[in-house]
Amino acid sequence: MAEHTGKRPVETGTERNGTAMIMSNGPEVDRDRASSALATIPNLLSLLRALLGPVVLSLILSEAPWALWAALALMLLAEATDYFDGEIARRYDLETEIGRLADPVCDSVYHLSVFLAFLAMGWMAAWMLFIIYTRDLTVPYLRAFARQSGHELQILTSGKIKTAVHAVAQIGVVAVALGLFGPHVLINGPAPTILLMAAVIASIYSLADYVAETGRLVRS
Amino acid sequence: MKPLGLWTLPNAITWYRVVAAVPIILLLVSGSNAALWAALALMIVAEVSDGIDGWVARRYGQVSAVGKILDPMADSLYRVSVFTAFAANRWMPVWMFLIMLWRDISVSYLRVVAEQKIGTLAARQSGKWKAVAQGIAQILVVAVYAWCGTGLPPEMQRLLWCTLFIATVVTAWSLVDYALAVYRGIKAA
Repeated sequence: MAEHTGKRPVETGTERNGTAMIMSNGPEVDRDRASSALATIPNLLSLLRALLGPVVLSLILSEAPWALWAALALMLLAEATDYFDGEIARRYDLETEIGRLADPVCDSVYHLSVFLAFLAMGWMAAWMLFIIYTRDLTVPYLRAFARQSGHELQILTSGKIKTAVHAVAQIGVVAVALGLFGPHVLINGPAPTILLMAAVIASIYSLADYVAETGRLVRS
Repeated sequence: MKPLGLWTLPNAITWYRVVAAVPIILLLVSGSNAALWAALALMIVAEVSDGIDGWVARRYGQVSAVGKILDPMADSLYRVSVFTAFAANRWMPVWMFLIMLWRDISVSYLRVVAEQKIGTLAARQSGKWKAVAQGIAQILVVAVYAWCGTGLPPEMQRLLWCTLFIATVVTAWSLVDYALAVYRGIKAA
């Protein structure tokens, strides 16, 4: 993407400065300034999602029945922020450079925090969490690797599929734990494993896709 | 096709830590004593690999741009693999593991920012201290459980907790240090 290397100012605007600029919705100069702003609504939504991670984790680990309901509610809220941060950024022209990175990093730490809760509850095997972590850690390194040779690794569809599958799998597992699928679908039965395997497969598929795309880019 | 330089000798040493990660997890969670000793052996080799890959690269003039990215990546994968097994075995409090996870994911994204704005982020002193603190904690925990079995006396449990706690504090400090380094680098650029 040419816009990454082009006319963007190098310095990061202060928070107040950045917010003021994005309000004005003015000429090109302002929008450029806004592109390095930190405290925009979409970025705060991303940050909220990351911070919900440890909260959901603690609620699941507390094992109280009400806490699991609260966890489910917050998980739905977290997924909603994932939808709305990008949506608001595009609609109100608040897309920032920071936001383009903050979104995936907040996504990753949020989903990993919830998977960690599943691991600690014994709902998920250690190797599954590790494969999911491997994908999330490797992709930014691939992006840095592509940039070394002057290429920009785009966000691939497989990454979006992965995020969606993770969202469904996590909410599904907590719903199973709450008994929402009836008395025969139990948390210590096969249902959580099936959901989490789908999450693992989506991660492996996305990792393979990103590795292939990086290889293609840097060899071109 | 351009060669990528992924398979030089120092990079091959680095790859070992990536490849060893999954077997180490499976050995650590399997619960048998023999498996713990086997995991410990693989982990010691990994520590050696971490110690010598940079040295070999400099010694044989094979320092590569790829190596500078591959090395921290292999490090993050390997160390978190061991901590994942610790968390699954309840050898480590969940919040400590959470900090380790967050740090490594965040630093990987800081590298992307740095790559774009100020060039490849070199390994920092705090990252090395983090590796040392985590390495000591990991080897010690596995050695103690392999030696004593799972019924650890309370004072031994306290010792392991303290070692892991120190590793966690150093890890958190390293995240702050990397974030500040990137922030300052961007400001100065």
